[in-house]
Amino acid sequence: MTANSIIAVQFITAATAVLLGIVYATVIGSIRARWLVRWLALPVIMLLVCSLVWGKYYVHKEASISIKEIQADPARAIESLSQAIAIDPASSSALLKRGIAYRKLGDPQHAYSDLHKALDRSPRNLLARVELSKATLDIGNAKEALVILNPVIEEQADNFDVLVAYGLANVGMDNDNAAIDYFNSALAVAKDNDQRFIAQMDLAVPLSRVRRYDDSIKHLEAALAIRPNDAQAIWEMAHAYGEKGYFFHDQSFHAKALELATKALAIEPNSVGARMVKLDALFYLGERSQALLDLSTLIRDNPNEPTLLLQRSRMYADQGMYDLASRDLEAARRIMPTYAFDAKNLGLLQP
Amino acid sequence: MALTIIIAAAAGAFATVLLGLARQMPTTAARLKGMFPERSPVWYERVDFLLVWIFGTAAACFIYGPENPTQGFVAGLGFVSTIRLTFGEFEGGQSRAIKKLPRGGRVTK
Repeated sequence: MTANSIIAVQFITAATAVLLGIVYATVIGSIRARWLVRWLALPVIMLLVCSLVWGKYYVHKEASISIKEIQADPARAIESLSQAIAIDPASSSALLKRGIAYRKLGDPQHAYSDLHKALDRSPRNLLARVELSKATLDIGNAKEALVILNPVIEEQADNFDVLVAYGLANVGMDNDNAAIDYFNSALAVAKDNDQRFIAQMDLAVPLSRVRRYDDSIKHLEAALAIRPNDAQAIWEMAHAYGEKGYFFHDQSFHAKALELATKALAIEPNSVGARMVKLDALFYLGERSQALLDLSTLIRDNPNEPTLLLQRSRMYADQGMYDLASRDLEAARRIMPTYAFDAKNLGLLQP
Repeated sequence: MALTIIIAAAAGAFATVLLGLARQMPTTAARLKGMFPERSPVWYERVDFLLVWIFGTAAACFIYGPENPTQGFVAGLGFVSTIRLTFGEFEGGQSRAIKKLPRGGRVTK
């Protein structure tokens, strides 16, 4: 039985019961007619109750999908969970799972909406809180992500997911040193290699931002020891080398970044991050106009990716094209308002 | 969806009245007799049914605020009794507690 047929049965039986109620009010003076209506209404109400119970069972069955199944096929999960939500719009578990699926599919607005509803209905659900904070970060509101996690951060100080989410929110707020502390705590409580990998990867980002490039690379090497062929870990390391080369004006680091980005692209040819890092390395190795041209093509294909705009703004600034750099930075900040950090660094915009 | 919830609440309220789940509870008939005297018993019964049904459904929808048909149905079931207890009274103005007292009244020392 599909969700639509359950909804149809619920509606038809409930409407029939209401019609019988009107008939009952009309014939209330006749004892025989009243009994007749009662006997007619009884199976209708029983059928309604059965369809309501069946609907509950259907929602429970669909909402019991595991996180691994959602991550394997988020589009299919969204389809089945949407049917469950059509039957029961108040099901917090279905809303939570669909929110997770939307996040996986790269639709942060829908994810935020679903996860917000899920947390409203189950304020004590820690997974809903953590996922909502991540979805809030995805839509560029790091301050709200921190507010969402603040009530639980103290009592869940040894919870890996909460520590990682709080660290990410701090990265979004440019509190890089606080983020490093939370990611280190997460690494300390990590139970398995999957969690250690996540903590090492997340830790590398704020370390690179506070110019502790060697520490950042060390953590990425630890992540790659767990998953040697992870394209993101490879291009994150390329990015760290690229940043180091930019800061120390050292071509050898850009060459290393180019080598790693090429390796990441061999594993995942469509990786936007790897392509961006490769173009960045090519730019600083001298192929400036070609790199800028290719990056502009990449931005055209991914208009909602603020990191690309940020990268291009830096390239423009390096070439003295401050107007274009400023325009890109403004565009990046419109997509992701928490990019004040980079704006301040470049000195192109008012912080 | 909202329509289904309202209809489910109305069906729940009707089921309470129809299946006698709220019998032995006060009705609005006594109050109606005071407000509209000299009507037929059928009229009082019909208006009592409609009042309890409509207000039970409305209370279920607006006071409880069900978010799915199941909640609507159960709220409809429950709020009919609430309406009866709130607005109804036993014939002759007796409260339910007094009616339940054993014959002979209170036992005094």
